[in-house]
Amino acid sequence: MRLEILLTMAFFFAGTCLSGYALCHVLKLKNEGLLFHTAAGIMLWWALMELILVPMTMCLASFWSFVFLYSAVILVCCLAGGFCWREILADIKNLFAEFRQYLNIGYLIAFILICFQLYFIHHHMYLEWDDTYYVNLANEAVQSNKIYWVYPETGYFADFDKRYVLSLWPVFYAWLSRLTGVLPTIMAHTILPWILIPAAYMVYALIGKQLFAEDKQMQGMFLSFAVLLHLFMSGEHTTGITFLSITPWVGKGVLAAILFPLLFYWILRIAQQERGGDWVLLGITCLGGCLLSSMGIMLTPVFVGIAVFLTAVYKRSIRTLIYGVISCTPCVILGIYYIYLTR
Amino acid sequence: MGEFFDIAKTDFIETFGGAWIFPIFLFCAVWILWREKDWIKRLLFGILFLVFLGLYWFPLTGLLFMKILGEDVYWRLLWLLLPAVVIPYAFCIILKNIKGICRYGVFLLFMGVLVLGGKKVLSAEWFEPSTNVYKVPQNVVSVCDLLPGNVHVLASNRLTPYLRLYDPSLTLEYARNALIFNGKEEVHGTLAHLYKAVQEPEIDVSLVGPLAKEEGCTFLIFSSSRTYTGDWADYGYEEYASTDEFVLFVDSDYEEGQDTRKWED
Repeated sequence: MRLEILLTMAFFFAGTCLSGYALCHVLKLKNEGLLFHTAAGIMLWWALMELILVPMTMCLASFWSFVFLYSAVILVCCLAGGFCWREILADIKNLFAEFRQYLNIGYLIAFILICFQLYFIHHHMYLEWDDTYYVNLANEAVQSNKIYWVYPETGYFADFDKRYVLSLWPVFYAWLSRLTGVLPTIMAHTILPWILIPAAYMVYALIGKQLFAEDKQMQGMFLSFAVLLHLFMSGEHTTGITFLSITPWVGKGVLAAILFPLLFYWILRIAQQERGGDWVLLGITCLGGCLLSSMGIMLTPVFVGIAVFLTAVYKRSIRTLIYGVISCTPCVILGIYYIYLTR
Repeated sequence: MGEFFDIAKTDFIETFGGAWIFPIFLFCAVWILWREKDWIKRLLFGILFLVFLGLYWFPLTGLLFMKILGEDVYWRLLWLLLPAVVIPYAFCIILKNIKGICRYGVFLLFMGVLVLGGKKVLSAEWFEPSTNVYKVPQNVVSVCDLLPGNVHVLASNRLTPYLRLYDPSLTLEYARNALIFNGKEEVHGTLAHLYKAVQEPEIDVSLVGPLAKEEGCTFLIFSSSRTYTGDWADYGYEEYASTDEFVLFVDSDYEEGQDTRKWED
């Protein structure tokens, strides 16, 4: 299983990094570093998936045709990223040049805590009842070649639960399973934590970098506090960020642990150094959030809307408000459609 | 209005109860508002999250969100608060003003505050050691290893959530969709009667056998502790195999390699 984990990690992070470079090149966002481009690439992958998957599900397309089309689109993104090799090399060179500065107590503690978290999760299991629906939705896609037209819990009851049709996150790891030849159950429970946990902390590292651009020690300390909070939280197991440790493969967990912090990061960047490209990334992230959970469709515009409204009022900028509304448009359209489907 | 506050209060306590993270979060948000000089950061690290808290507790907006999200998942509005962003930033503001070795001391002190103030997430309360890469209970693996693929199965409630996670080629007679029959005195339909009949401590074979046949169940899996009235052979089933915890019965007409999965389009 180690090989499958390593291969999936290499594919996911290399692919999203390349796609991120391609996207950021178009958006004229340069010299932002590898983490930034990887975060942008992850959101691009999820947003593209939402764009492709929803119409294909509605049209009763087969899972194979989705795998073929989505893989082709991702391949194009990765190839386009390959053309940005000069930017990639420059960022790698920068990373090596600054590497010694990252060797501080904050980053070291954060690294140790992340390794411990991954080790613990790899050797333990949490029995989630909802897996019988969501993980089997992925299993069923691979098994029956149908997207969402079989009741996943029993495997025979033809059904169409409208609540989830716009947010078919399990199909993402069904796609990864199809490419790697691993059963979606194993992909979700054993491999995905190795992708999503580092991805989540990548976002906190970016926030730390944005807040303390010149101070690597403070960046490290910020990250280690953030990681520690994921290991020592409060209340029930469903408290937002605890999902990252307990059920990192669940779409709602990805929403709470990765998407909201990333939305916050884009908004912080926009508020501090408003650039066109950041607005596009915010919009793409909003669309990516719709894939994760129907809660993403509902809560993302609330989060972005209020944060942008406050920023616009402070800046007395109607343009900020208008761009904020535009970036929420994908969620608003899908939200209206969701209400139409479920009422 | 009273009902709104009851739900909001219950959800809030369930989310932040059992730890000191929320008081720390609130203190940090206020600290940022007080000490941070940059207005943008004050706005995004302090005011924004206090607005979200206000939205949660203010009845008008709260009732609106309850309508949109659903009363039973109102607590998810609290996901908009980002303690793992606000608390680290407030701590870092304090650390920034401390120089030298003292900074490391205070850093470790704050780490201690979070450890003592929070509730351990990676604990035996929620996790158990995994014994397989599927991360499903080992008794599920034992049963599935005995079953051939592509068959229709009626299984004990202890197994139904996990069987298809291990082997998706199986189809199940019922899963969580049958839980609605629990507690109902009178039910209608073959599936409902079958489900109710196999929940009895002593299974009436003369009732379950024909219903299972009618529904096309090739394999029946019950806990070893179950007792039966009647002989399965009289109703076309025979014992197939057993594990430490379960006994598997098979339809006598089943031929090895046969595809008996159930499809309803």
